[in-house]
Amino acid sequence: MITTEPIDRGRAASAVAHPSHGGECCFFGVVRDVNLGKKVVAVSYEAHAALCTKVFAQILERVRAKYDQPLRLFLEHRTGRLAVGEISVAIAANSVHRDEAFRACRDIIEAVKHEAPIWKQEHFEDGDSEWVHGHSLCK
Amino acid sequence: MQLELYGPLRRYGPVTLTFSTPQPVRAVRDALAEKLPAAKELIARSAFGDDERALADDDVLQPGARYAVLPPVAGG
Repeated sequence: MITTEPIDRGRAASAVAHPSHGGECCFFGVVRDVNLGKKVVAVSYEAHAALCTKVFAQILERVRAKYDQPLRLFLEHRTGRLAVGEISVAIAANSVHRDEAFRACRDIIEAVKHEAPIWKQEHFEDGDSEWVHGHSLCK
Repeated sequence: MQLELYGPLRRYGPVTLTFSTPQPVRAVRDALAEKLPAAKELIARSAFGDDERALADDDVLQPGARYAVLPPVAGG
């Protein structure tokens, strides 16, 4: 889902917890303070929320279908202006064993970066701002 | 046709383009680039979409409908 509220690490993990699952992997994308040698003070995220919700559901469905194991998955991306250190995206994958949990987590973040209609604008210490070059959705 | 522009294109929009017949995405993209020459290169790499999906270049857009123009994405 897309949210304007701060993302809670614990909620991501608890959303996928299951007593029969022994492998739980969480990934958090966090705003960092430098990019390409320039000091970053904040990052703004914008999304096409309706389309993004569909794309997220497709990504999770595809990842579930990929593995021959039961998977419990969580995906949340924040929008708005985020300060350095704030979480932009949270992913959690929970499976019977660790391998599927690790791989599912990686699959989801890579798909989000390449497929989700989300845009990122970095704000620099010198007052300049720049949109991050991304991946074209043209097909 | 109403076009809502996202991300780095937002400052140019929204944009209204007038067509009398349905048009493929590639034709609407060309028309948008002609209307916004300053954003021509970015528009060339932008997809079109609705609330359900990103559309292919051969998909047909309806004259009275509303679409999103989706520049290259950078989530995460």
